[in-house]
Amino acid sequence: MDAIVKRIIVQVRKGDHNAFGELVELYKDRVFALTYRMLGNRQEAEDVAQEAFIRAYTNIDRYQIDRKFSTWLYRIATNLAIDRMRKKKPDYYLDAEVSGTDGLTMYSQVAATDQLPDDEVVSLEAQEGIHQAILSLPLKYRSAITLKYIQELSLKEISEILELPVGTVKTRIHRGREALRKKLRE
Amino acid sequence: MKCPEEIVRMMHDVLDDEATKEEQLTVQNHLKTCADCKHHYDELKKTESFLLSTPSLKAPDGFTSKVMQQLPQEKKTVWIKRWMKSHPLMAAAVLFLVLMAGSVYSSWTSEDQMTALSGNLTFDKETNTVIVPEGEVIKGDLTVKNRNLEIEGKVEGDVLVINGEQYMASAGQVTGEIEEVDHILDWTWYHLRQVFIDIGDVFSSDK
Repeated sequence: MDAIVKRIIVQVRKGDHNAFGELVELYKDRVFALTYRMLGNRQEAEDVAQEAFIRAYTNIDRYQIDRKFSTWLYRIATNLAIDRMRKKKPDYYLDAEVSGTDGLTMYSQVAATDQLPDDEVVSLEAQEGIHQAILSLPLKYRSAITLKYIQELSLKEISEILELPVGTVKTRIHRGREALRKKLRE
Repeated sequence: MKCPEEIVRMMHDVLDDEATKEEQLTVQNHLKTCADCKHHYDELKKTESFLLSTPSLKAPDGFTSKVMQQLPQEKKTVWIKRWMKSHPLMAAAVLFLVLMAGSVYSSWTSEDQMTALSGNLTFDKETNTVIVPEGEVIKGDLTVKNRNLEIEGKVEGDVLVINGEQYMASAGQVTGEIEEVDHILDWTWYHLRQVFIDIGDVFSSDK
């Protein structure tokens, strides 16, 4: 895998557009999964994932060929996703009182979801639950947890991607896991 | 009962495969005796299995082609810059050839001329021929351009005829080399060779 990726990158550096297409094919699912778990919105996740690949293309000369390409690519994607999250301010809070009403919150405005067959409800609910739980984590825990469990990376790789000491990454995963434990119990 | 916080940290280390053998044993033994911590650990395990069971996602259709459409088209100047960076010698050679071609071309199209260091030459307008008369001795190199050359006397040096023809009478004599250049390519080649000969001279005169 690494040898193939390196061969492709050499071609990309020579200006081969199509070779870059091969790289996108190889990594698109993993990069999209990363941005989706961090942003929680498909459209935004796709935008950020695409931007990550474009950044990788324009900065390909800065990539050090002896390092792992995926680490470098995930770092670009993670940083873009974090930037996007920082800029994004929620437009409204469900808890906020609707103006002009007496104690009525936005919860009452949200339609109940359609009923689904039983077994499907369970797995979808569980999936949705864990997805929402990840999204509710503070930014710094969310990135560490996503890289560990969605990308299944080692602590060392995560520390390289986030440019943090391994000890800090460990702490963030511990705290993130504790927070998720409490969320999932609710 | 309040358990030491150390135990929770160790539980996380066990989950991360970062715990030492000792810590693993400590955690195992503690979990056997402490229901609260056992519950805590089981919940963490459950959280972890939830996280790991999240379905793998696929990028939306057409993702790759959308990326490819957005890639910046490489500008020619960028390409040239990158090429020059990676091939400095070739870049120097190209620059050299361009300047060379310019000077060769301008000297090719410049006026008709003939040069000789000394001696008398005659010129026949009708046949457009420069003549080295019989009995005449030209000392030094003789260059004739866009004219023919007829040698009846003697040239003590090299003879160069550019874009013309050269006739040697039986009595004529040239001590150096005779060269005819009829084509711009020959002319270029001649110039290049002169440059290298000059360079060679520079080096040999250093010694």
